[in-house]
This record gives sequence, structure tokens and C-alpha cells, in this order.
Amino acid sequence: MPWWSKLVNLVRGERHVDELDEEMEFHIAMRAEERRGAGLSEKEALEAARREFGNPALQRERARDADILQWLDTCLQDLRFAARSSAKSPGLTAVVVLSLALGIGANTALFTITNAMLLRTLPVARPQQLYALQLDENDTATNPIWEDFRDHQDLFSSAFAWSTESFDTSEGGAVSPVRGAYASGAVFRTLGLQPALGRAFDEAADHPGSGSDAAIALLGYDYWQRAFGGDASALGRTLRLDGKPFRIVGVAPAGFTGIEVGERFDVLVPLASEPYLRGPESMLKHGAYWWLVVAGRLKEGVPLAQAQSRLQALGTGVMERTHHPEWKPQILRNYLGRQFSLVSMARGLNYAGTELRKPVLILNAVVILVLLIACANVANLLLARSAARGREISVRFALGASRARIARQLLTESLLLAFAGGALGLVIAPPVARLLLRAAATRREELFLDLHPDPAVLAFTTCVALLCGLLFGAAPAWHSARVEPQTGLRAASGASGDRRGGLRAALVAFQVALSLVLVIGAGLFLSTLRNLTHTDLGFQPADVLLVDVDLSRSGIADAARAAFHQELLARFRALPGVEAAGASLVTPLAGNTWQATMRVESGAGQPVSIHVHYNGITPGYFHTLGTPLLAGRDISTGDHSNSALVAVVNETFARRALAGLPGGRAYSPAAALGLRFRKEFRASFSAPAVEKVVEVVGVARDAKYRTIRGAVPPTVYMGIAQEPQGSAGLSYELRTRMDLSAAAQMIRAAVAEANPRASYTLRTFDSQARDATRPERLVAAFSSVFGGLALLLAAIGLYGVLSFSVAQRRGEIGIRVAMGATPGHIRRWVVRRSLATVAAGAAGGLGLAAWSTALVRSMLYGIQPGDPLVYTAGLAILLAISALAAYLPARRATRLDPVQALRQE
Amino acid sequence: MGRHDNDRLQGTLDLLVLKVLASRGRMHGYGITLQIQQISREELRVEEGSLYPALHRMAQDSLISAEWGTTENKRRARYYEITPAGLERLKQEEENWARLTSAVARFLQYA
Repeated sequence: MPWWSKLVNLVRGERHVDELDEEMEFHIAMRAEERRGAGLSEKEALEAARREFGNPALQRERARDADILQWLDTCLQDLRFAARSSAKSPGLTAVVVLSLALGIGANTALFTITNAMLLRTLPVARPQQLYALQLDENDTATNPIWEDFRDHQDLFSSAFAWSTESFDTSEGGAVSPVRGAYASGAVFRTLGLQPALGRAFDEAADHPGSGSDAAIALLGYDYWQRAFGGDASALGRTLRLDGKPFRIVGVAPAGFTGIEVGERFDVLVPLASEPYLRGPESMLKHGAYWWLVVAGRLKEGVPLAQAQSRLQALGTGVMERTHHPEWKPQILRNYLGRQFSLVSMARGLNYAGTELRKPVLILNAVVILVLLIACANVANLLLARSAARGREISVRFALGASRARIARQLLTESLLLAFAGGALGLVIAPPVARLLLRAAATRREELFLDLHPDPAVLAFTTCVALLCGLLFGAAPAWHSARVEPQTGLRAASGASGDRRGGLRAALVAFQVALSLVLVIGAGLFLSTLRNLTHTDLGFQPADVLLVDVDLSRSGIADAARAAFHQELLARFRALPGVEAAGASLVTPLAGNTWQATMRVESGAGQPVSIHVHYNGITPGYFHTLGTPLLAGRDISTGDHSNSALVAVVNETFARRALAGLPGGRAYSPAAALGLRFRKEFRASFSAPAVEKVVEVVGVARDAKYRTIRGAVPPTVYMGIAQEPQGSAGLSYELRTRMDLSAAAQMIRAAVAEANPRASYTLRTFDSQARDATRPERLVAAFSSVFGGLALLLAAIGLYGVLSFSVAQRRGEIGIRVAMGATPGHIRRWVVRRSLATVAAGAAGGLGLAAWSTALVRSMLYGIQPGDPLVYTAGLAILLAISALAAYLPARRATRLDPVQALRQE
Repeated sequence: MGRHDNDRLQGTLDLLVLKVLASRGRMHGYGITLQIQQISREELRVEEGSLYPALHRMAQDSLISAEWGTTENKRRARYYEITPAGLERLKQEEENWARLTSAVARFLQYA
């Protein structure tokens, strides 16, 4: 019976039984009629008819059983048989299951991450209805925009604003950071969430009576578990955030970790508490800061297109009501022209996903290749086994088994192996995923993803296992089903192996091709990483410690901050073992920038506008970092708030400025000295900007600013002593040969002596530079590991094929040896057999590599996708491994005793 | 799916059903029962009900086709017809049967 009619039976079972019943009733009725004709009473006739018919229920069961049981029974039979025959060759089974487990496990791990990072929706009610506001390309808004939008909008049933922030729970000294977020009152209502404990905030939290009324906090579920042991008495307790007391009122539900993928909040506080926390530097009060994500739930039944156009109309009004009085016409025009649009928030905000999307996709491709190689390998092993089982199969043919039956049996075995591999893969996937995630996270930016296997992951793994089973099971099944029973019985070895040998060689060639692609890919990514780590940064990060000091909760007044920084720098410089020290507002490669536009005076006509990256520094900064000055002088202690404004610029700035001058002056470091440009200064956080003239007194060598990959931007350095506004945060750079732990104690003492309430974080510059190459490191590490794995699998495949072919040709080799072939001849003969396979695979691999590496061009740095050196090296490695894999069977062939070999034949 | 070659009795029933349908054309289950009983002069009396699982199975195996129809006296009944595959199978079964019976006959003669 075809399997589909069985499925139909299973589905439509009841109707089927009805038909059968009707049919049997008809039979009994006819028989009864006949008996009545013979003179029986109606009742007697019916009884007799029923007696003769037998038990209808039993027949009904039999009819059904014929369909289902037989089918299930053969399935069980196949499974039992598969299990037995797998158990009979434990070595082979182990190799097959392990290589599948590696392949499937790697794919599952990657899918787990891909799912958590790119596919999964937020764990909130009806996530598809959630949308975030976007202004042009920007997904943040200012507080005035948020408040105005909140009060005028009519397209969301409710909306909220959100901003992530890091809070310090320590009382000064080394920072003890927690991840926090500000959210407006309607956040839980909009998302449709209920707190796990206590209460959430509501709209009342947006309008607190006085400052500390807003000082309430919700704990993240995980943080509640970690910091409070999941104790309900946490409610009502006080938590100090940046030194300010907050009352804990509730715990967020488990699973809800915020609206950003890869982020997790420990503490959620009302947006209205921001001024209470940040005091005079409040972004909420200042109003010109773009820091809030605005999101909401679209009203039921409103089409997106309609909401978008409604939003456009609303947006114009919002912008007209919210612009900042200080803005110049140019900026204002820009501001008023900004367009609102809605973007789906179903999957949350995804900055990590945007950054890591490419690496994750590349690694997905890598593990798929590895899985294909593993499948080819398994197919090869199973082919070898089915050759060894040729006799068994022939006997089964002879006993009357159909080809389909044999093929099905073999396919069942493959599927059993595949699912065993899949199950083991599910076990190894979570640790691999966690390892990957750790590799992807930086010290400062941890990635929080829920990696628990969910139904999507389980479904994925099941599908992959099924696909694998069919993929590698197809070849042996097809082949065995085509075995001619006679040939199979006549010779278990010999001629029948040939066709199979061709298929096996093709599989090995396929493995060789794919592993060459992986090896070349790994080579390119490793070169990229090497280029990035060996690139000339323009400074020497080795042996430099970074201390980020934050005074915002130290109680030190704005005016006294400059003096404090000066004192602390002196303390650092006095530490034994510290060779040099400096400080700056921004440290290179930290990922943040300070950008501004400078207008270089040209003497006559229009000034030259240059968009620059800016940094405030102390004397000694360049010396500490090892950035040479090419002309002029460093910022000195003589440059203070009352002296003329001076700056050091980098080569790129000097080159750009000189070229922009009338007539375009030729670049030389010295020529840039004395250039003058205008820069805006603010006396305080919220004071209006004033333009002042700054003179270039020094030219420094180009140094990387935010990223290693990016070109060096035009950069301007000025002394922080000349900044009118004292900065709360400053990064100190200390050049020392001490290791981190030894230095940590001295640094703690030095900060505490200067001010016990100043907080700081400590790290090495090297770790910061390493963090800057996170995606590249991730891809390089994993593509190398998987490339190696692929090579290993390909080598096993080649070894297996050659061993098999040597074993099969014992007779032929015996004759050759008997005829006087030397071991060298035999070796060459075996190696030649492998050469064709490897060459075919390598040629295919080179072509495939040329095509596929072009796709990852944007991930490469300082190397072309077709780099001949990498290709040559990849090929050389592949050939070396292949030679090794061919050597053992070749040696075995030369050691063959011709007499014995011929006798066996 | 494999055939039930080892099940002689069932195989015989199949053979009889196919033969009846091949020689008499379209027929319902009760009619088949009557035919088998008549032709074999009441020698072959299988439990009447066991015909139906067999018909059902053969229909699933596409040896025979089935459809609902009405009898002369306007009753609804399920009619069966042999298919080309069924004819093929019948031919095989007849040969098998002939081989088996002649082998058994020979055995009885000479043993």
C-alpha cells in the first residue's frame, strides 16, 4: 500500500470505518433476505446472517490494522534492525555519530544565536503591534520631542520612552556597575507586562511631586535573583544608584530583559528620576540631547500605512513646538525638516545584531559547509560499510526482499544515526553557543542573549538531522538497492566495489573542495585580524593602563574639578613604576567620539570648514601613548584658562587645512604651525556656545581615533585646562610595566587619597584594543577551528577511500609485487590514485573559494579576497594533509605479502 | 509494502476474489461471497466477514477499485472492479497456485 493512502487512512479514519460498516450491514441484510426467502422468520434470518458473517467489529479492526499496524510494524522492525546493526560496529557508529554531532551541534549553536539575536520577538504581549519612532535614520529623540509627542499623538494606544544607562551601586572607589534603564510610566502597560513581584510604575511616575518621589526602582528578574537571592523582602528596601537612594517597588517578569537585543537591565527607574540622579547635567532638563527611544503600541485595526502618514502630519507639529531657542537658522532648518517614521519593535532594538549580523551570517555559512563535509564523510563511511554488507544485502534479496524494502531499511539506519547525532548535537550546542557569545562580547559590552533551547531551536535541529539522514543515507541506499544479487553473492569484494569507488572518490573530492574553501576563508580572516592588530595605530597600547575617573557623585564642585584632575595626575605620576602619565576626555578605540566642526581662517575670503574629531588632553598625553610630535610643541602646563588658546592637530587635519587655503599650500608639518581656527566653547553644560580663535602650536602623527578599520580622521587636541567647563569624567593613561593586579592596589589608594568618593574603572589599553577587533576575532577564531575540523574530516575521508581501495586490490597489488614492482612503484601507484581525487576537489575548491570569498570582501582588512599567498598556503596545507592521509594506506600496500594476498584471492 | 506470501489462506482468498472479479466483472462484496460459494459448490466456506478486510486491503493496494452504486432493488452497495495491476497479480497468483498444487500432487503421487 502506498504510504500516502496510509496517511489518508490515519487522517480520515472515521469516515472510512463508516463506509466499511455500511458495506458489512448491506451484506448481512442481503444474507438475511435470502434466509427469509428460505422460510425463516425475520428475527431468525437476521441472527443466522449475523452468525455466518462473524464479528463485524473484528473485521473492522482487521481492515484498519491492515493499514496502520503493518506499516508501524515494519517501521519498528527496521528500527530494531538498524539499532542492532549499528551496535554491531560500535567504532563506525561512534565516528559517524560524533562527526554528525559536531556538525549538527555547531549548526544548532549558531542557529541558537541567530535566533536569539535576529529572529526572536520580544517576550511581551502581541509584539507585532509595537513600533518605535524614527527621525530620519535616527532612533532616538529628545525629551521635549517625547513629551510633545506623548501629549499630541493619537496613533498609539499607549507609548513610552526608554533609555539605557549604567548606574553605580558603590559608595565611591572602584565602580560597581549595574545595568539600568530609564523608562516612562506607561512602559509596562504598553508592553502588556505584569511585574513578577510588587508593582510596576504607572503614568503617575511621570509627574512626581518632588525630586525623591520619583526615586523608585524595579529590579530585573535576574538581578533580583543574583543580588537578593530572589527574596521577596527586597521590596521596600533601598538601593543606592550613583549614591542616591531608590526604593525598590517591584520585580520585572522573568524573561523580560529590556527592549534591546543583547542588553539586560538590572534596575529600571522612572524617566522622571533622571534629573534627581544626574543633577545639573540632566539630559531631561537640558532638552537638546537625543537619548530617548520612543515606542508604542499601534491602535487596534489601524493599518501601518495610515499610521505612517498620520505620524508625518503629527511630526511637523511636534518639531515646530520643540526646537531649541539657541539653535542657528541652519540647524533649525535641518531640525524642522526631519521626518518621522515607524519601525517595527517586534524584535526589539538591535544594535548588537546590526554590528554582528555579518560575522554571524558568515559563521552560519561556515558551519553549514562543515556539516556538508561531515555528511559526505558519513556517506562515505556508510558506503564502505554497505560494501562490507554486500553479502548480507544480497542474501536478503535472494530471500525475496524488494529493492524498496532494502533501501528503506538502509535509510532507516541513516536516519537513526542522524537523530543520534542530532541529539548529541543538542547537548553540545549550548556550551558552544555560550563560548561564541563570550567571544563576541567585549569586556565593556557584554551580550545578554537567552540561549535556552526553545521550540524553534528544537525544530531546527530536528530538520537538520532529518535532512542529514536523507542526504548521507541516500547514496548507500540507492547503491544497495541497485546491487545485483548474483554479483553480490559471487564476490563480496572485487568488481562490485568499482562503481561505489567512483562515488566515494566523488564524495572525497567534494569534501576536499569544501574544506579548501574553509581553509582559504580562515586564512583571509586570520590575515585580516593580523593586519588589524599589526596596523600602525599611531600609538603604543602595550604597557598602558587606563583609569576612567568619574567625579559626578564625588561632591566636588564644577570649578574645583580641574584642580582635582591635576592633583590626581600628579599622584599617578609619583607612583613607583609609572613611567609616564597623561589624561584625556576620550581614549582611542573606546568606541566613543567627540566631533565638531572647526573653521580654519584663511586670511582672505571664506574660512575652510573641517569636520574634526576632538579630544581634550593633558600635557604628557602624547608622550605616554607614544605618539610622536612632528613639529611644534606639546600642550604644556603654561596653557591654562587665562592664556591664549592653543591646539595640537594631527597630520590629516594639517594636510586638509593647508590644501583648503587659498591656492592650496603644500603639506609639511611645520607649515601647519600658526594656523588659526575657530571653535565653539560653552562655559557650562547648558550655557550658550561662544566661538573663539585657537592657534595650532604642534602637529602630531596620525593616530587612530574610534576604530582601527576606519581612516584616521582630522583630529584636534586641546588642553583640558583651557576648557571652560570642568569635566566630571576623565580617562588617565599610565605607562607602566606593572601588571594590572599589582597596579590596581596602588591606583585604588591614589584615588581614595585624592577623594574617597571619586569612582573609577581600571583596564589595560591592550584589552581595549582587543575589544575593538571583536567581530574579526570572532570570525577568525571560529573559521580557523572549523576549517581545521573540515580538513580533518576530509583527511579521514581520503584515508578511508584509499584504505578501502588498497584492501580491495590486494590481489592486484600482490601480482604487481610478484612481477617485481618495488615498494616505490606501489607507493606511487596508490598516491596517484588519490592525486586525481584531490586535484579534482582542489580545482573545484579554488573556484568556489574565488566566488565565495568575494562575498565577504567588506569583512576583510588590508587583504584582497583573491590574495594569491592565502590561496597558495591553503592549497599547500590541503596537499600536505592529503599526502599524510594517503601515506598510511600506501605504506600498508607496500607491506603486503604477495603470497598471502594472492592466496586470499 | 511486502505481500503476505507466507499467509496461504489469505493468499487464496485474494486469488479467489481476483478471479471472480476478473471473470464476472463489477460486483459487490455479497455478490463475491455468493459467487465463491456457488462456483466452489459450497466447498470453500470462509467466514463471510473476513472478506471485507481483504477487499479493503486489495483496494488500498490498487489491485481492485471500489465505488458506491445501487443494486437492482435500489439498495446502496459498494461495488468492486479489478484493475490492470490486479489482473497482473491474478496471473502471478494463478501460476503460483498451479506450481504449488502440481508440486503437492507430485509429492502425493511419488512419496
